[in-house]
Amino acid sequence: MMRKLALIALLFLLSPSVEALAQEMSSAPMVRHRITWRTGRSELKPGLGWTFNDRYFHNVIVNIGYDYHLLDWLALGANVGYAFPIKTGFAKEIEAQKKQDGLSFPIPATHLGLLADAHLELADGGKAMLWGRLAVAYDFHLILGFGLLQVNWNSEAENRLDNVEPGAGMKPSPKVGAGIRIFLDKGVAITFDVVDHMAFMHTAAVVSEDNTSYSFPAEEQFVHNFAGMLSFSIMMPSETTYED
Amino acid sequence: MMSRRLLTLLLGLLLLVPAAAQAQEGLEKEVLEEEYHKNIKVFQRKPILKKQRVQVGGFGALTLNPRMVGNYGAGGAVEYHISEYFSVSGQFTQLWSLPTPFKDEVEDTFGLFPERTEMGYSTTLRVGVTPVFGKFGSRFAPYWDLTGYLGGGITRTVLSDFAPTVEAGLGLRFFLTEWMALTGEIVDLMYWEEFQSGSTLLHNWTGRAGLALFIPFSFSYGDSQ
Repeated sequence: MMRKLALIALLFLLSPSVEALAQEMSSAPMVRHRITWRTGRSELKPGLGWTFNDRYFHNVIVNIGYDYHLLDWLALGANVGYAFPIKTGFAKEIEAQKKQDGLSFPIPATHLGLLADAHLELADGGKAMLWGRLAVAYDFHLILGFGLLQVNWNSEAENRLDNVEPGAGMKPSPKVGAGIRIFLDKGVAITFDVVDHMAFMHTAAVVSEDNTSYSFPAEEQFVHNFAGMLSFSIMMPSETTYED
Repeated sequence: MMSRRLLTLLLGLLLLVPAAAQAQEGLEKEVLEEEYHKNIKVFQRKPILKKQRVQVGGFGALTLNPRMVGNYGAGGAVEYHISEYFSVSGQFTQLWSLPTPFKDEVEDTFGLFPERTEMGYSTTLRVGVTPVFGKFGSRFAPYWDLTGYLGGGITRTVLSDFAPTVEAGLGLRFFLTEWMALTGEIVDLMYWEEFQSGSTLLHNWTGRAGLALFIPFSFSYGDSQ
């Protein structure tokens, strides 16, 4: 008799458990997997940049960067670039105005050369929709770094400088910037950054009254060199993983 | 005795039948659900709706490409959102000007005194198109959108009382709540300035950052979503 009662009790217990399970599942939250776009991935980014708000020279920068994304929001990296100078229209106007009796006036001003830095990147991203149809993964990021900035004098003016040593050379340079990274695919992204390459540097030399020789101003100025950088990011490994 | 055994067995069967039926039903449901999910599309509702709401905001402003003179200021804007994608707005910015270190350098180093102008105010009417909407993984300001602006108006400067102005640029809104957002814009204010040396087209790239409120403070999805 006891065995039968036990059987009945077991059947009774079995019966509601199926329904309870069904109810539990129906109210369970959706299972969604988040793609980890950055965590544990390396990023190699060749890029082309340019400075803006320039005084006497624009600088076109060819750059190669590397970042390792320790976490989805934190990366460490380095950049090495070289800037090629292009004289601004304003500098050309000064040269034209200061030209005297056939004596040319090469503007005694500086431009950038080598740029190198180590930096950290803080990122937060998500998904964006274009016209409610096309979804892309993206992130906004902040860049904090420190490096070196090479300051060069206008080569056309160097032979009139009484001393080329004090003004030129490598300068310590803190970097602060922000940017956006848009993933075109799991393995590639387009990145646009604006970074301020700050440095104490000379921007122009003092000109003698007869325009024949230049000398350096007594003090260097703290100069903001804002540069935009468009990079093509190659993410490695090329496949993303999922985070529960 | 026999009848009691039969009764027990019947009771057992009665309890088992629904369990077995439910198990069968669950299995069928699972198969159906799997089939159903193959064709399912998930539509997430937009967390913020702007349609037929008025955005009122204040901001600080500065020119991003100062040469001889830097301009700093403050202003306000009113924007009516016709739909989620299109809006019309008006803005007014009062600006103050300060000479830059570059001006001093040009004067001191080269002995040149280039002509310069100082901005007073600028006011424009604009059309906005908002094609991009995004969300963050984090909880702070989790939603944002990007708007392109194109408009026209006037700029008052020390050289011109009413310089016809074209404004073009981009704006970002980071929604803090359903009715409040941080705003940022980068616009190019283009106008012709009459210098002694001739008429010159100036591009004053201006950055604006501020806070905006949406009226009414709440919205309903209705049939639109």
